[in-house]
Amino acid sequence: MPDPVFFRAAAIAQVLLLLLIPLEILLATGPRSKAEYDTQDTLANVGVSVGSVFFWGILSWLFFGGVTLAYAHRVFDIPFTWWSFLLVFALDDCRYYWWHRIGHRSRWFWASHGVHHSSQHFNLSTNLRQSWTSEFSGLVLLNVPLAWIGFHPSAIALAFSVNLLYQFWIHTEIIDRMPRWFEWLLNTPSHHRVHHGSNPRYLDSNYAGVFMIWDRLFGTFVPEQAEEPVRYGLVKNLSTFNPVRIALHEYVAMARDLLRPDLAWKHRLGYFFGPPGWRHDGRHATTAALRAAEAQRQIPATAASGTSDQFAAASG
Amino acid sequence: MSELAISIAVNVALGIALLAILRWKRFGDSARLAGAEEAIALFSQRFSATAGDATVAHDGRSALIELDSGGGVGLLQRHGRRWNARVLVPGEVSSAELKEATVIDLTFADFGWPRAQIRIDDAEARLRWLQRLQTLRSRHA
Repeated sequence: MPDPVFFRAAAIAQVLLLLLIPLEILLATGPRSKAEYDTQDTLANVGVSVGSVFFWGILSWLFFGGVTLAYAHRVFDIPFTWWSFLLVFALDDCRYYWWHRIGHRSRWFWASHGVHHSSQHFNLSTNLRQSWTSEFSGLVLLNVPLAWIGFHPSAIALAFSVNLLYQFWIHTEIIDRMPRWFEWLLNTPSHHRVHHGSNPRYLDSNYAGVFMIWDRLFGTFVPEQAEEPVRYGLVKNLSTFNPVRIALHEYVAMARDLLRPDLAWKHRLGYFFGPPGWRHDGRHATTAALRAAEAQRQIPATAASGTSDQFAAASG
Repeated sequence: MSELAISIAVNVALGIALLAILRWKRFGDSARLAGAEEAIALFSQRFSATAGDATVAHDGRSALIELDSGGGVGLLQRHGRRWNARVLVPGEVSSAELKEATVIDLTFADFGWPRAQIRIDDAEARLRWLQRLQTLRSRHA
């Protein structure tokens, strides 16, 4: 069973949401504020959040079951102390980096995580737009090694919760830059704006949860550039505020691709596990293809045709 | 289960509170296209395809744009406070029908962008666009 500490952390997060989102909305009305809210978009975020909370409630046993089972077969007995918590927090942050990176690089996992990126706005309410299927996707298995090593499931759950709590404040346009040392070490609104960008330059970058060091170490760090404002949302944007469509759109698109007639199995596997935008006919709209096209100042053929590409032209 | 119910209740309460604040602060959207030139300019921000003739819908929140290259039709549609652009090519449109005499009702085989409704008052332009869009239907592919 989940430790009560997890629910206390979740409750704190929700209180923060309650207090800070209205505050940001009020700040967004200022004449020089960079923050922007859209009534329909924000309500869609809340709608997606209700579904996310519901599915987390009924599927969280996969997380807790996995770590509890692994802990029962642990290699070491690591006590739950302040130093062990710092250690598990750092290790869990590394786990988060890879969870996040895989979530962007393979379509099956992107179908789940892409929900969080589907808003064309970037504000604190974007936190609410979370996947309904994170536990279902299988990436929950990445939590198992920490428990198997010997960290207590409560410590893992707390580290996970604190990590998510930290990420709440970085979903904002109100804060421009933090002090240089802070920007180097930790995830910030600037770094996370880049992560939410659909500009080819910004795609698939800045996966960090708390410590930016993972992106710097594994070569995925991209700084925000003043000359290229972030265009939020998906390469293929949605034109709906319906929470069900938002939560499931990529699964439906993937099913359509998988059910195409006359596809070889390697093509079906490509549509399932390949990077988002992969196509069996080679007309890819993947990050690599989009960057190559951007370099040539062209939009790829697939981006100019069919259901595969819709773009958001930012306008006030 | 009580924690789950509380979490959902908190979200619902949050939604109601945010709706009230957003309405109070007037975060709705009133942007309208001024004309064909603006529609083409916005569309061109996203697609390099050369745009030709454009027709702006009665409500100024969508536009159809004839593309000079590729045989497609450009669609510009307001989505909240953003403009979404898309190129419709043969096979893209599931249905294109006239609704309420002046509205072209388009449906797409796309769960994330399922439909577009474009009211065009000019009868000649409406008929021309309807016929053009019907050539893009799946069964014509």
